[in-house]
Amino acid sequence: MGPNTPAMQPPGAQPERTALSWQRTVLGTIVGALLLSMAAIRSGAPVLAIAAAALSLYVAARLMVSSPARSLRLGTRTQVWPGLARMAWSVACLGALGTATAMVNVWTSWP
Amino acid sequence: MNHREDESPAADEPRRERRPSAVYGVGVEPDARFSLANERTALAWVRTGLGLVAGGVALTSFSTFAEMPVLLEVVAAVACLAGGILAVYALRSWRTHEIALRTGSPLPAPAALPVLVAGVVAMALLLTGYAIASIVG
Repeated sequence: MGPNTPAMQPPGAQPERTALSWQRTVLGTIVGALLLSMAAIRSGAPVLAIAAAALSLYVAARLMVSSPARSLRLGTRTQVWPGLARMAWSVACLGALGTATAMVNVWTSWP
Repeated sequence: MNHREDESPAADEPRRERRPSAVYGVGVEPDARFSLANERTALAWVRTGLGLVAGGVALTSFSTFAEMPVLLEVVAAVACLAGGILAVYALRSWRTHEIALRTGSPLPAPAALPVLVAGVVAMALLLTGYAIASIVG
């Protein structure tokens, strides 16, 4: 039993708002990873493309299938930090892959 | 009000320790609304970082059609890097805010905000200058 069990829902629909916030973040990350994957293919960097696609699958599996959003709505969530850390580091990973793709482009277009 | 000492949880509490102990080992449980608001703030920072990364990905996608592709690629790389840093900053910010909520301390100011604004303005000016140069040159 935590502070978010159905019997003790805080007023203001806050768990619902937080669940929606999670959904926006997760979907945005998955779409961003897929877009980067396509950009990496166009840049001729298949390793980065596969890595970005793998990242989108990871985020979908770990944060969409067993989502903080659903456990928030059900009131079954016990911990915040693991999901949050997973989310933030996924975006950081995406940023690193994006930087790598840009550097590949600079390298290949260098005369 | 929801005051419960962390040293003696209620008998029906699951015995799993909440991570990180640096946060949950301190102070008392705050109002759930404040905790959830803190969480939404952290997710908003993550989405801001994601937006920067997405901008970088878009720039690097279209740089091949542009006149000075190297400049655009450099901006794209910086944007992606900044986005990643911002996402990790979200975690640190969540921690310090949750600790402040638990101990009843005043919330710290968002240190990343002026830096973020300055960075976005700089990027906008750079790209505007580039666009004008492309039209004129």
